[in-house]
Amino acid sequence: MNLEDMSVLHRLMPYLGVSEKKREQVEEALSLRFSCMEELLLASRASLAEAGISEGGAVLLHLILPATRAARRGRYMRERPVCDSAEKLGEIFCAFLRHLTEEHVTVALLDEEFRLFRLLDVSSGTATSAPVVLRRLAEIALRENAAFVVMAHNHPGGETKASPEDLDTTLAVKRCLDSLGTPLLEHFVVAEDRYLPLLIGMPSSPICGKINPLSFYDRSARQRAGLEY
Amino acid sequence: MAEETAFRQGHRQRVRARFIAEGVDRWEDYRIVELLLFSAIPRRDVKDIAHRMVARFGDLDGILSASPEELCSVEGVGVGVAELLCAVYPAALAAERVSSRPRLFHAKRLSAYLTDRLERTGSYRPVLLMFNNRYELLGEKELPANSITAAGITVRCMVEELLSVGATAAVIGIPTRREVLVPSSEELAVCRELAELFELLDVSLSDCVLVRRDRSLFLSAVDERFSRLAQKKRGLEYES
Repeated sequence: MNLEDMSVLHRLMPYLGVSEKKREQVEEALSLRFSCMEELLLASRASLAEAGISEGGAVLLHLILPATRAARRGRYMRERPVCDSAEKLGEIFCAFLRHLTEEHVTVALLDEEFRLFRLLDVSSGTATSAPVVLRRLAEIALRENAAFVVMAHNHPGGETKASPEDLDTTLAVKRCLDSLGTPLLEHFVVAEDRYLPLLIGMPSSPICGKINPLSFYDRSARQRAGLEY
Repeated sequence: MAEETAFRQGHRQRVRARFIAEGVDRWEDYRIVELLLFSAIPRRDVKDIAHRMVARFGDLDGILSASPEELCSVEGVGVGVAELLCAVYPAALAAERVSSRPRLFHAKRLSAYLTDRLERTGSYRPVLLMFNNRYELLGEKELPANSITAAGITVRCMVEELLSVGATAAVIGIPTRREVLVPSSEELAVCRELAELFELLDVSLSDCVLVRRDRSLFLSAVDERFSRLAQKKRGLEYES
């Protein structure tokens, strides 16, 4: 662990169920055993127990990333940020999906002003696949009266490269949501702090190559490109 | 009094068990705050405090972004609680920095790692590389025999290692001196069996690699049956 990680660990130590007498020793052992904060926060309960952390302490460590995720979701709902570029949404999805060790499919619902008003998990799978339930996506988009839908899923493996299934899924979801009047604007693949917008690059997509991905949601750009959703 | 304490302990156990089973994605904010408070307030009912904090700061983000002084202005919140809540975002941000563990998701990188290892250690014993699902190397275990097909190789010791580090993927490196880099039928049979067994435990045996000092060979490239087993899940990247 580096100095910054060790400083955060030191702040957490009083809450990990370690007696005051052993705290210094356990803190040192943790900093040697785990190479970074992420590794500590995602460590198995067994390895935390081995390092001297109580069951309650392990729960606290495992809670930090999900609690941060929930808090960020709440912040987006409260602030309703305008997501008028792929870059803004890509960053939001990265912050939201990056630590998950299983594949999750998440949708962002936008209003007519491109304000993000809901961020929802649609499905989660094992470490390597997340079934996309079209019916559930359609239900959410219609129930929430979304003007636009943007979806994202994470690749816990760390590579943004899309599989053929990812591309097929993107087209199927786009066809379905477009026909319901709640168009799918983009489908991102997120891996760590990187994201790949799929729709903009698909040869079969009517918008492929027509506009700059970073101004994808910008109305004037869409008007210039003559695109209607 | 003793009954009340036992009830509270039972409640805490139930909430923690619920968190372990289902996560917090569908939880209301006050429940998440309550679970955080368990670590800072050992023997008191904390639900009311959690509700008061949500009422005061609006939501979980408001609570985790508040200053210690603001937090302490809520009835029932002391310095200990404030310090814990103020440490949550910094811990998450520290975790968001890029990991320092080697990531070997690409076949070329993995091959280079194994040949370097052979060069460095000079050991010709098979090695089990254990990964999380970001293909970060969690650890490696040298197997106690000179060949993957030897009697000393026990599946049990491999599984124990994989589970103890929480691995979701594995690769077996098989160092060799043979001139023609071709796996034996026994090696292929063992690797297929291991892939099937690991799959049952939700660990993906992504590949087995014959390693010589100058080059390596991925068994998935030469054995279709093993390749099918190894490639069931999205695994290593093989393209240049």
